[in-house]
Amino acid sequence: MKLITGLLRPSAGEIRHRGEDLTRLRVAQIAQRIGLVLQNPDYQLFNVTALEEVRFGLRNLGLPADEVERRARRSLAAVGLEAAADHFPFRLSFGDRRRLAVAAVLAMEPEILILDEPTTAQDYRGRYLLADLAEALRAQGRTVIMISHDMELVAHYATRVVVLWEGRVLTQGRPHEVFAQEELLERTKLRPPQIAPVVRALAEAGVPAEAVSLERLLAALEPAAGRGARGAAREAAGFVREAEGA
Amino acid sequence: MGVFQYSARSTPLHRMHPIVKLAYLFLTLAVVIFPYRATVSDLAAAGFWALASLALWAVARVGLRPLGVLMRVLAWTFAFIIVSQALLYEGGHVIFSLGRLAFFGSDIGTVTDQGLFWGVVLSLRILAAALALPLFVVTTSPAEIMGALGQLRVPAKVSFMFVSALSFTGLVFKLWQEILDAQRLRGFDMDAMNAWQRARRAYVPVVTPLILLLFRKGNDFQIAMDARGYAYPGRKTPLVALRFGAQEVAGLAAALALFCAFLALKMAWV
Repeated sequence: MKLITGLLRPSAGEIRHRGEDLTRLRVAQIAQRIGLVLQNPDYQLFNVTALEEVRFGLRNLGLPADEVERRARRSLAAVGLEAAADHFPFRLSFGDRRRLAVAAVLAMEPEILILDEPTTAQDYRGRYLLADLAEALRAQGRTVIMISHDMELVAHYATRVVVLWEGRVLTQGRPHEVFAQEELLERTKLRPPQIAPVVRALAEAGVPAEAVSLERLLAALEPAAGRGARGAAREAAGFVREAEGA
Repeated sequence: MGVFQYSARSTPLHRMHPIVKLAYLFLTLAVVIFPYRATVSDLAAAGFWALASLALWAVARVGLRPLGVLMRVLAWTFAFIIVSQALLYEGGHVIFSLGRLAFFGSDIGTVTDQGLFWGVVLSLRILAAALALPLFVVTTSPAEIMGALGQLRVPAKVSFMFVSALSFTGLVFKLWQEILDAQRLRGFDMDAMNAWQRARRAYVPVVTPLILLLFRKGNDFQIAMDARGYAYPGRKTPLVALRFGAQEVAGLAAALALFCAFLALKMAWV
């Protein structure tokens, strides 16, 4: 993560983005293309209002004033902080400061967004708000890299999973392929989501292996289930989500 | 700047009672506040103490990285001292002259050999102090410092403040670097700014979060201390049992012998 963003320089090899060697660029130049949201937002907050905090990065890019204003307000709205635009950042809760940090990076419209442990200190809604936002960015054609130990989140959102262990890539692949390697994951103290073995057990019933999240499993079951069963399944899903949130 | 924090090793200096190391620091203080003149004796004496401290760095296996950091910090100070003394010192043979340049009644247009020499002596004097001070911090754990200060009847509150200040120094530098990185990630191109631009606009985005974070850390620190009974009345239990044995007596004797050698050098070529 620090190598990609230029905070550390590689002792060997290259890091290329669109054919250009990133190791030749300064951190601030890379920041225009690759946005990193740090775990601790307090390292970057220094302005008197949340809106001013988001404007800071945009001014560094040398954008015109009206564009700065438009992007800053849009980013705050995207993370649900439009009502806190005039609040002193350090008065916000940690979860909201985290979202403010995300807004500050989002506003710079990087091609690649890196979220370091996006669910840290987030309540249930905030946790999915950031991940949904990341998914929307992916739908727009941007690349999103999430660093997370939250396997439910990984199962729900990731399209490709890379497991790192002691600085090396241990395994990689689509979520269900990675979650199937339980013994390997055990070494990293990671546990596949609870639903993963259920989905594997239902494989003979025609449930696709990719359905490793509750939403995907429901979608896979819907054609086979009757209306009553579907309603019951949705109710159960809501209950599970509430329990997770609590 | 975490290089000047305690690192647990098993060297004679690490095992030495902290009071012996404190005694060496006090002797260093005496070395530094002694009156100096631009003589070969004083140059040799200050150089000797700096070399002795450097030898102790090797004994403590502190490594070259901290030394490099220290020298980078001090290089500008030494350059300033040598240049300013070369220009301001009155006396000695003229090396070169830019003509008479009056500065508060003094002529600063002439560089003399004595001026340069005096600048070097002063620099060595600073180096002697700078090399000795980190030795104590790098080789003594906070628990040992607390224990030693307790044996010297220093109130627990005072020694705790001292140890906390030491640990906060490392924290400040760590936070400084983290904040710098965070602002660079937002396109704040400090690397492309010159010294004037940095002074004018670079430090607000770095210093402001640093101050706010330190207040917050201080607050958290206080809560953590109170939650673990810091205010509980009575004498606190020392974490380590420090003994003053034969090794410590030998250490003190060696420190005194070094100081005697320093005094002898100072008087050698008067």
